[in-house]
Amino acid sequence: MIEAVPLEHVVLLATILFGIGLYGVLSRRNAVAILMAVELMLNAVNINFIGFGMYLAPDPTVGQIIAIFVITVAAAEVALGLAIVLQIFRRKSNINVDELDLLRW
Amino acid sequence: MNIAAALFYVMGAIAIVSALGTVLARNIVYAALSLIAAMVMIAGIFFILHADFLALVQLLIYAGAVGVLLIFGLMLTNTDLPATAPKDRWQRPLAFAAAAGFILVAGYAVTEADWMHGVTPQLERVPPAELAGALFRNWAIPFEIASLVLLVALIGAVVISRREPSGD
Repeated sequence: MIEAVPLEHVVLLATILFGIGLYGVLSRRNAVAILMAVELMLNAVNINFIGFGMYLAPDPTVGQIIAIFVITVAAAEVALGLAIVLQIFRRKSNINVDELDLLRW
Repeated sequence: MNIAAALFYVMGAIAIVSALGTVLARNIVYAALSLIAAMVMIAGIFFILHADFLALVQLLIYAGAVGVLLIFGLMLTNTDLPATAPKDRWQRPLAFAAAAGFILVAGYAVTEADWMHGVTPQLERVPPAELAGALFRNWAIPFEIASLVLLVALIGAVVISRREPSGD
């Protein structure tokens, strides 16, 4: 059914999505937008896990189970990240990461 | 080119365009909606890759819960950032160089590597029962640790995000 899709194309798609997420993390200034770009990168990693698990792993369940754990940790990450961003916003009325320089000095 | 393969390329292209919208959109709400679109497309790709359960989990957790959570975060931290602050424009070219360099190097490595090495992939659909069996037998301890991580994250998010405590 999916023999026409070579593994290279699956991994290439994940690479491109990861690179786009990397650009977002580095270039965005809104902390919530940075969290969104991180989610994009985690999704790209999940595509890799499922692709390799399906094409190459002797036990095809392994890739999917690792992807489930990645999704679990990503959910915890976004909840905690948004809680921290919310508390920063309460204290500074701003979530521009360029101005969060309390630890610089 | 059968239907599944064609769908893979179409959904991959839409996912890439949506991802670009996520990182490039001026309006942050558009960025969040593009992210949800990209996640739905990635769920479709999981489905084509025979990971049915993961596709449903992706739709429920990412497109549903995480998407709503991010939009809530945007609503609660509603600031009008200046559209272009000239002083930090220097970050853009550096970020672009880093991302383009990563995509070029990793993409070259991916296309040149001999992944299959003579192995013929099985490409068999994993039934959810088999996935559940592996998760609760071979991976039982990581599964329990993951539940602990979620519990700690839940309590931590509540403690961090509540207003200043009045009593202590």
